[in-house]
Order: sequence, then structure tokens, then C-alpha cells
Amino acid sequence: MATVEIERIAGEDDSGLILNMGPQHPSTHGVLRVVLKMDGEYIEEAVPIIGYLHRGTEKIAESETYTQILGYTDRMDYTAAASSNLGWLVAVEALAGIEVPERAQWLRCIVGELGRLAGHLVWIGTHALDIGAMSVFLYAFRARERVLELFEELCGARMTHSVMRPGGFLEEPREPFYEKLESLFDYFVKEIDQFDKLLSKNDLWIGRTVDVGVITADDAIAMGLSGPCLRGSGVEWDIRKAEPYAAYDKVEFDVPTGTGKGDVYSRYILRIEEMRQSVRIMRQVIEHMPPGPVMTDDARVGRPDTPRLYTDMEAMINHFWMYIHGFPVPRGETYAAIEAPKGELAFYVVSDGSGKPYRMHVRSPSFVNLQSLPYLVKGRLLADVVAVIGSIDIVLGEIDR
Amino acid sequence: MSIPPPVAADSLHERVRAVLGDKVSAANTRSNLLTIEIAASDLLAVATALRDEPELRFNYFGDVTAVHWPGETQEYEVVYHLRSIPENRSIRVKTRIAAAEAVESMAQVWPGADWPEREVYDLMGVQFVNHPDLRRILMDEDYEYHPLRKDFPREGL
Amino acid sequence: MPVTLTVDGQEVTVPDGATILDACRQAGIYIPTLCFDTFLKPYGACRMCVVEVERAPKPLSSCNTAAMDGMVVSTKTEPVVHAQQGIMEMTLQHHPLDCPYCDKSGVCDLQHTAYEVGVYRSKLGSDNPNEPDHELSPLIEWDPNRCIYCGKCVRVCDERVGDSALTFNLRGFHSYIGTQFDEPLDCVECGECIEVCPVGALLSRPFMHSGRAWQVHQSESVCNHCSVGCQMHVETRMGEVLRTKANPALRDQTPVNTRDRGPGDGMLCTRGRFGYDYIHDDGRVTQPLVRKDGQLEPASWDEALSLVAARIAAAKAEDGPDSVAAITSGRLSDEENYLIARLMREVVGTNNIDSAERWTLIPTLHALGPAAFDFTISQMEQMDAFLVVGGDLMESHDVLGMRMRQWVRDEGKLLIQAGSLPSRQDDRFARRVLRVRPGAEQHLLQGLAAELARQSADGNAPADLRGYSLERAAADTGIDAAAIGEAAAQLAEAGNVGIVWGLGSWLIGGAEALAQAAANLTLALPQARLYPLANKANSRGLAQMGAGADILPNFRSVDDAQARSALGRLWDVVLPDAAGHTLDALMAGADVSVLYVIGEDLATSARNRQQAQALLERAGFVVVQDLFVNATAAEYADVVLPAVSFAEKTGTFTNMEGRAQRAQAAIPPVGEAKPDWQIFTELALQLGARWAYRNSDSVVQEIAAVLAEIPVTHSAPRFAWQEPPALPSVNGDGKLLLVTQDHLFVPGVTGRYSGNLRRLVEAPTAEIHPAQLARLGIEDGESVGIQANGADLTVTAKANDKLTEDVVYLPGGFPDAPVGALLGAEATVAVSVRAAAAEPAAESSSAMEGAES
Repeated sequence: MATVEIERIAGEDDSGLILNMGPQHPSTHGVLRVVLKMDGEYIEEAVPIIGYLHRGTEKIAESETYTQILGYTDRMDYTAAASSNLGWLVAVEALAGIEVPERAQWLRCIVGELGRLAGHLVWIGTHALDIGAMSVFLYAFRARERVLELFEELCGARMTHSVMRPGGFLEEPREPFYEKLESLFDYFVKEIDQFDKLLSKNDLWIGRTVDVGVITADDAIAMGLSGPCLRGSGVEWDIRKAEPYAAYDKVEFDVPTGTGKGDVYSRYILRIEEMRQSVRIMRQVIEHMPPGPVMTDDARVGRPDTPRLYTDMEAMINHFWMYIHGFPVPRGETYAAIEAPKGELAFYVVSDGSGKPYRMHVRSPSFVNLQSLPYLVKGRLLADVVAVIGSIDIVLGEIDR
Repeated sequence: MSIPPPVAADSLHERVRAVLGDKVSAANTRSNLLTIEIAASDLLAVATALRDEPELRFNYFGDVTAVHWPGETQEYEVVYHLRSIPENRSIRVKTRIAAAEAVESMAQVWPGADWPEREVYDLMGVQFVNHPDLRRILMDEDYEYHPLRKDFPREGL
Repeated sequence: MPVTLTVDGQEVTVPDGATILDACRQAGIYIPTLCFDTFLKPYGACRMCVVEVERAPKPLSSCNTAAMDGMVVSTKTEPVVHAQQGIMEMTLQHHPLDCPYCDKSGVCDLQHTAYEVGVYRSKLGSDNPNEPDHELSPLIEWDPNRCIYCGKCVRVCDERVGDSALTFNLRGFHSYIGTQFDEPLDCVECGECIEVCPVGALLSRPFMHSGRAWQVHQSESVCNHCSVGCQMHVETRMGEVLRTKANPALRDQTPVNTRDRGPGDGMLCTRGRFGYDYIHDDGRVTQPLVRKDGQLEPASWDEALSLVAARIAAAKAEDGPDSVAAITSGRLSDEENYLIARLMREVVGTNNIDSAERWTLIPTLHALGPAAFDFTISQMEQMDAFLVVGGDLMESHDVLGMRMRQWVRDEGKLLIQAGSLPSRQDDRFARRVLRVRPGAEQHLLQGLAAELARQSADGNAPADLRGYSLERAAADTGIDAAAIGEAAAQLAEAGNVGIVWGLGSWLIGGAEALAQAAANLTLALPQARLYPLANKANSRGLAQMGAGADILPNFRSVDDAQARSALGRLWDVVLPDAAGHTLDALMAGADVSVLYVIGEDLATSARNRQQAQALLERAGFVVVQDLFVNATAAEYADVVLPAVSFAEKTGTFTNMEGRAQRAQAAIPPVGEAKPDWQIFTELALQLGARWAYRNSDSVVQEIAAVLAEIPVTHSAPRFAWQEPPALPSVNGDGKLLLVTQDHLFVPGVTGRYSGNLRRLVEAPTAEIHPAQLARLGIEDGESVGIQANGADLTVTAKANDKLTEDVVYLPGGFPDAPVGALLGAEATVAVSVRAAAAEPAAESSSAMEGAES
């Protein structure tokens, strides 16, 4: 797959050392491969090679209904499947003109932030592990387990849950979900503080992260970075504020920008703060969430309630047609973006009027963010590569799609 | 400093029209997103103007993708999404080309277009000229097809 | 005159004769329908398609209201939607909650319409009668609960098929779809009723519960069971053919749509719709077999092909190229027939390539010239009268028979059915039925010609024709002279007569004479047109590809030096100039070292079976290339090469009109089987040829070049007076005249493996008139022995009072009663019929009761 890259960067004089990293390297967070041209311990050139996890999601989507595609968006950013699903649904609902009930909009903030929490917990665990802080990994995954348990309470599935549907939610979560969620807020804050205490003032940590992988605000914007990678350079930019979706315009939260220096440390410290903001958002949602249905009453889109399916011909016939052929979406196109844990996740969807998209394109944040890797590591030490990869926070399911 | 609300598409439309004039062959503001259609030959000039004009300052390359419309003479529709950060303006730029034609690479204007354009080339077969490194990115380098084209089967036998 | 009207504020122009519904659909406006089908005449029963028209007092049904200039139509107004929802709710009230296991789910008109009309919640509750479902026939399942009483099945059977086998029984709430008075279903079993059923009330029993609509792939293909060439869809799932069905695009027949609907007009018959299951028959041979110690043992392709190549090379070296012969089949595609002909001529260097078309199509071609095969079914449709001679089209070319029924009934055209067997057109469609003695079809045509020549005032008709006469024809054919005279008058009045005959098994022995007689009739009837209908899916293509001992591509003669040298230039070889051994010559005793039999069961289905078997025994090395280990393979083959069915290969089939149609591969080959073209190519390469075909497309390109290089030379039909031969007569010596014809449900050497079709006929029967049965002392249902030409078949006797008394009818196609064995060189065969060994008494008496009741 990479003979061209290797030949190109090896050059004709064959002077430097070519080091291959991945695609089965634990610090590449999946099947990322990086071919490095080394000058001693310093990196002359880095070429990321991707595509090992390419499943053709965009092509597959053309033969699936809008609802079925949720099964594929689940598996894009699998550390925070809720965010991928939410992005897809925001796009579909905009294109199809589906009204989502108020309560479902608020509930989506909870699911979205739980997704962010889960994603960031995986990130801090693996990032710290890459740099050598083993215990953080264990604490982070223990805390993430609590998040997954919440998802389990919500819908039965832990990671790839497809709990949100076009038009709202499949069904109202049962009462224990809210109780358990409220009871865990303090725990999450305590855990987040613990990571902060373990790492933020730690000499080793600071040595490995401060002034490593620096990118300026202008460069970050020009390179199309988004999410924490952009905010770490001091750019206050968050799709939840810029183009609010779900109920993010009704809750208060801050957009942390870390130290603003655009280094690994800045991206680390702002993600720690983001997790606190996530908890803050969820507390507000629990407090203000209005009662009401969580699924649209548009019967062309929403699933009839289960008991009626077995007694009512109208409900059954409707349910079958809708699930086999999908609800028809008017001709048109849309580009809808959300603030996923990794950055700006957007779906560009073109409909030809049928129940399946004519074209579905994913603007995946990890993909765009990863292209800054050669820039960030150039001239740095080999050991910095893993720190930088960790700080970009990639997930290959989303990059390769 | 806080993030301003999105700039209304209609007012943005006026400003874009003022800058680009008749280079815009069609435009709409559906869903409060300004969409302009331009000729592929104007792309580089339009992109530079959109980035550099102080009133517009689309400094952020959001996304590029392409849609395949087989049976039409200009079968590729190349779609760009641009943003202005932090002013919170966004615009969609569309252009059509035939399969044998190519578009200017936007990596000349925004370095961030590098990988997205490689992806469009790889999966859809759109050629970008003046791209720094136009190679396949997701598929194997010796792969023969462009799988997102509509003539590529969705399912095998 | 196009008509312009306004629909929902949109101006629409439609051709004259279009309905409001057509206009709406053209404008892209959805109108819900249930009983409407573009394939049928508007009916207006369901009232689902109502629209409001300005100045009309109440909503009108759009499917049967003509669009008129200046109409202003609204389709989405509150009263319209209210009416549609009301109708849908009432329809659904009686509908069972079967979607989870109904075959139709996902392609159901009722589901779709309910979703679009917008009824989501039941107001009336559910009230389903919950009747048991039952089988209407071995192929058709009937679930009364799901029926929505749209009447499409009743209408399609009446309008399109012409069998009128279904009807509404009882009235009001008690009405149900069934046969008249609940008699057993008596029809051609085409399954059109299943195709049009908008819900899952009528189902295909073989397909039932085998695949959900959203799991199946559709590929376009062409039916392979006869030469009409009906286009169809093959439904597959994971490499398995689930069923074949009509191509819906062809069934969209409105004034707005003028596209070509294909030769089958969108229809399929029993064979097309149900005769697909042989593809996955357990008996398929899925790997090459080589005979070792008298047994056929599995072998690798390498081993089998190199053995075949070595034996061909050895035979060629030792006994000369003419010691190798190949028998091909009209079931193979154009490409494959082209390649086997090329293989024999170029690589082996002999013209010994022939097929069973030697007995039907090729003599007809010799008599009439290629021009006679240059017709189209749409031309045929323009004829004012049809004289159908010989075998029943409803048995051999079913869809054409159905189309002819429409022409006859809807347009009042004349149909004269002349044959020695009762036909399915006799009762309701043929205006005159002429029951000729077996083999006397040519006498009838000559008699008609003589009578018309006598009557013709201008006297242009050749005098020779008058050498025969009405009276002699009456004596030879056994038809009343007056009836022949009246038929002649009817034909003369119509003038524009299509003389139609199928080149099927009934014609064996008499093909050339019949073609000659038909050509003579056109002398007396100048506006008449001949329609010799090829028999197998690619019989005509076989001849056009030059897969005959005496023909080159485009029907050119082997003796044609110019064509030979042109072809030789293209193939870069000097072609053999000596005519090859025809199949007759081979069977008559030509020396053969290697015999390559492709797609033909020579040992059972050839006429003169004794000779065929002798040929197979005489041949030093026999290669059989087929889907099945048939009798030829089992007893005589040294190597069996597994070939594939039409669904597993891409290929072109030329139908009776000369329309080359492409069948797409729907599934990969079963087992290790290979498409025939690939086998020929690999064999040619082993024999040292430099062929470079990568797929059938590359062959198609070459064929196009060849056909362009040696065009058809049109020779006028030969008109030659021949004294009709004397026919054998039978009078009480225990002998009867044998009549055979293709059987609709047993279509040849592949279709006989279709379990679906075999559900319709269990065992072959010999049909004899009851009076004759009594005379012979045979009881109905008893086993009888039939002897002729040294062959002896044992079949079950069946009384049929529609036959004439001196014949015995034995249908073709059954491997267990190969009627070919009885046939000799003559057109008419007298067979002796006697009771075979005694049957258990109980069985024969119960069969008799059944026949009498």
C-alpha cells in the first residue's frame, strides 16, 4: 500500500532511516500507519497512510434507508457512537423537514454529551498510556464503564446503540436512567478532577506535552482543523454555539481554549475542561427538560407503538412499508454539522426523492485533523509522534469510514 | 470573545454578488445556507476572492465532495463548503465538470483541502490540477476503480 | 390530437386517448390506485384514484376518465383525500395482519398505497374472516383473506391470457375469487394472475416463503424455453435463482408510453414463469466426469479437457478431420453456436457440425430461403387472418398463442386452426377448425392452393397448382371438401393471411414438404405471409451462426466459395469445402471417431432412436456437454463436461423474429460448471488455436464483424409443384397413426428437469379416442405398449374424445417416453398399440370412474 511513499521519501541517496510505525502499533489508536524518515532520533518527514479500515460507508449508504444508515454511523466514531448518530440525524431531519419534539431535543443533548464524555475518557486513558501514565488508563476506563452502563440503561446497548432515530428517540428512557445519570454527575466531576490532579502539574507530563506539536491559530484554521485541535490554538469555535442543534442554544456552557498555545498540553487541558462542561450541560438538561413525547407524531416517519403493531392493520402495513423502503425524503441537498468530540462532524446528503440517499458524504473531523500530523511532528523527536497522535485524538473508524 | 450567530444567507448573498458579479451563475439561500454555482474555470479566482475579500474572509475550508450524475454531459458536481471563522459565515460553492475535465485544486488556497481532495479523487475520480500530491488515499494505489461513481455496483453477485 | 389539461396547477399535454391518470403520472403527480394496472383495461372498481375535476358534480375516477382539453384537475383536495382514506380504511378492515410472512410484503401495492394515502390508525377495527388458504393448482396458492377484490386476476386471465379461468363467485360480502362453480382450475397455468395480484392473495407455490422482496436481486434476462424470446427478470438471492418473473417495465402500456414491449408483450407463460427450477436441480452435473473402467468418475477440468483435446487431435491425425463431429443445440447462445462452428471448421477442419434443427428449421430454410425468417411479431399482428397449421401454438409458443387470442378476440380477426390434434384455440378463438389426418397438413395447404388457384379470376396462379384438387385434398386430409372450400373462401376474402406453423416435433419428416406447400399457397394468395416459427430459444440463431453441416454464418451455403473465402480470411484459415455430415448422414452410418454432443440428449430425443444409439455406439469417443447426466451421457459418454443454464452465463439469444436479445448472468455457475463458450475456447486453445475471448462480449464483437463481412443473400423461395405423398392408412389392424407435438409443460431436454412443471403432468400418456380404445380392448388408464420402427414404448392410455379415431397422441419431451424412438424418416408413422401387461385392477377402475364423472 505504501511502496510509493516509501520510495519517495527514501529518496535516491538512501541516506536516512525509514521507520515504519503501524498499522498494528498500539499507539496509533487503530490501524493507522505512519512511515517516518528519520535523521537520528529526529523526524525529517512523516507520511500517514490510512485506508486499512475503509468499509465504503458512503457507498453502502446509497443502498440503505436513512434509518438503516444509523447502523453504519454507529461504527464511524465508535468511541462516541452517539455523536456520529446525532450528526446523521441532524442532517436527515433538516433534509426531510422532520420536526423533532422538544423533549427529544433536550434528551439528545444528554446523549450527545455522554458520547463526548465516553470519547474523551477513551482519549485521556489511551493518550496518557501512550505517554507512560499507566494508572490514568485504568481510572479513565473505569469511569467510561459508568458511561457505558448509562447507555445500557438507556437502550440496552453499550457502544453502538442507534438509540436516536429520525424524528426523535425510539422510546422514552425508563425512569432509572435519569436517576442513575443524576447520581453519577458528582462521580464524574470527581474523576475528572482526579485526572487533572494526576497529570496537569506532573513534571513528566508537562515535559512530554508542553511546546510539543505546536500549531498557530492561523495555520490551524487554514488546515481545516476543528474541535479541540482548533480550540487548542486559542480559536474559540464550537458548532454547538455557531450553528446550534438539539437544545444547545438553551443551555449555558463555556468553550474552553486551553492555554491557547496550540501544543499537546493545550489540547489536553481543554479536553479536561470540556468534560466538566459536558457534566454542566447534562445537569441543566435534567433540570429544564420539558415533558412530552420523544418521537415525532408524523406517522410517515415515526414508528407506531409496539402494541398497535400486532392488532392494527394500518399500523402494521405502515410500519412495514416504512422500514422496507424508508420514508421518502424530498429532493434536495443538505450539509449539517455538529460538534463531535473530535471536531466538526458534518454530513452532506443529496436526496433524489426516494427513501434512500442518492449520495451521502461524511466530513469526518479525525480525517481532516490527521492531515496536520506531518506538519506537527516535523523536526520533532520520534517519541513525540505518539504524543501528537494522541493529542489529535483520532479514531480510524471515522477516518477510513 | 464569543461566537456570533450565523450570518444570514440573504445578506451574505448580496455581499457575494457584489464581489463575484456575474461569475455566479445561480444561487439560492435554502435552509439559510448560501449556495452559489460557478463555472469550473472561475474556481480559483472565486476561491481566492472568497478567502481574501475582507467582507467575506472565508478562511476555513470545511469540506469538498462530489456527486456523480451519470448520463449528464457534466457528470461530476463538485461541492465545496467554506466557513469564515470566527465571523460565522458559511457558503456552499458548486461547480460542474465532465468526466474528462479537471478542477483547480483548492489546496493552493487552503492547505486543508489536501486530503479531502485526495479522497474525492480516489473514490469519485475527479481530477484536481495543481494539487501538491494527488494520490489515492483510502484505496490501494494500484486499485483500478472509483467506487463512488454510480456505475460501480453497490453490491456484488 | 394531443390534449392539454391542468393538473394541480401544472399544465400537461398528453396524447389523445390518455386518461386523467396518465396525465397525472406524466406530470409526476402520485395518484393512489389499487385495481388499476397499465397492463389491463381500466376498470374503475376500487375508486382509489378519484380526483376532483372542475365543473364535475362529484369526484371522478381518474383511471377511466379520458383527459380532455382544458380540464382543470385537483388531486390533493380535502374531499379527495378523505374519500381515498375512507376507501383504504374499509379495504384494510378485512385484511389480515400477514405482512411479517407474506411474500408480497415490500412490493405490495396495498402497503404502498396505504402509506401514501396516509391511513396510520385503524378506526374500524379488524374483522378478518380467517378463511383457510388452499391451492388452486399445483403452482398457484390462493389465500382468500388477503384478497382486496380488485379483479386484476380475473381480468388478466380474460383479457391477456384468454383462458377466463377465474371469476368472482357469489356476490356482495360473500364474493370470492375462484373458478366457475369451483371446478378444478383448467388453464395453461401461466401464472399471470400471480403476477398482477397487488397483494399476496395469489402466490406462486414453488416460490412461496423462499425470499423476501428486499433481499432479492433482479437481473434482466430472456426466457429460454421457446423462440418467442419473452424478456423477463430473474430474481436471485446469494447465487440462487428464486424465481423468474415478467419485466414490469414492459407491462407499462399506456397511450403515454410508446416504448417497445418486446416480443412477449410483457407476458410470460407457464414455462417462463415456473420452468426455472432445473437450474438448481440435484441432478446437475457440477464437475467434469471421465469414464474409467466403465464408470463416469469425477475429474478435473484439466484432465477432462486435455483428454478431449488429445482424442480429437488423434482422430484428426489418424482418420482425418471428418472423423470428428459435433452436435450442437438451439438452446446454446449465439456466441456459443458461433464458437462451436468455428471450432469445428477452423480448429478441427471439418464441416461436421449439425443439430436436431436438421429435421425442422434447416429444411424449411432450404425451401423458403432466409427471407422467410425475416418477420416481426408486430407485422404478424397486422394480418387480418391466421391459418395456424400443425401443432398448437398454445403448447409450443404459448405467449404468441395468447397474443394471437387477443388479436382474434379484440380485433375480430379470423383464425383457422388446422392440425391433427385438438388445440387450446379450438373452442373459443378459432372460427374454423380443420382436423387433418396426421401428416396431411401439406395436403391441406396444397388443396387450399389448388382451390384458390381455380377460383382466381385472373388466372395468374401457376397451372401446376391445379394439378391437385379440393376433392383429392378432402380424401387425403379426411376433411369434408365443403369445409376446405369454405376455408379457402374465408382466406381469399381476408387476403392478408398469416400462414403460421411452429417448427416443432410434429413436423419432423415433413418440414420441407410443408414449407413447400405453404410457399405454393402464397402463389394463390399473394398477400399471404409465411411465419415459420423456430422452435428452441436460439434455433434461428444457430442457423444464422452457421452451426449446420451445410450452412455458414448468415445462412450462406458451404458451397458458396465467396462466403467461404471471406470467412476463411477473417479466421485466417482455409475452410474445408466438402459439405459435412448432416445429423441424418451421421446416423445413417458415417464413420465417426469422436462425437461431441452439446445440449442434446441424442439417445432419447432423436428421431430414429435406434440409429442414434447405433451412432453413439459406433463413435469411438463420445463427449457430452450438458447440464445433466442424461441418457446419452450415462450410457455412451466417455467425458461429460458440465455446462451452465441461461441464468449462469451472459449471452445473446436470437428469437424467431431474428431479434438478438441479451440474457445477463444472474448467478455464478453452479459448482465447477462453465459457460459453453468458455469450454469451447479452452478446448480450442488446447488444440492449438489462438483464440483470445475473455467474455461473451468479445465474441459478440467478432460475430458482428463476420455477419457484416458475409451478408445474407436473399434467394426467393422455391416454388415447385410436388405431388403430395400418399399417406399410410390404418383400418382396424391394431395400428394407429402417431401424432406428437411439443407439450407446454414438458419443454425439452432441460425443462424436463423442472420439478415445478412436472407437478402439472405426472406421467406421459397415450391419448386415444374412447371408441378406438374399446375396439382395441384397452381400458382407460391401462398401460399400453406402442410399437413402431423397432421401438417399443410403454405408457398409460388415456381416453380423449376430441381426437379423431385413427390416431394416438403421444406428447414429446418426456424422457421416460421418448416419442422420437417411434419416428422414422417419413412424416407419418403408423404404430401398433396393444395392452401391456395387466395393471392392478383397482387402479384402472378408479381411473375410469374419474374419466366418466
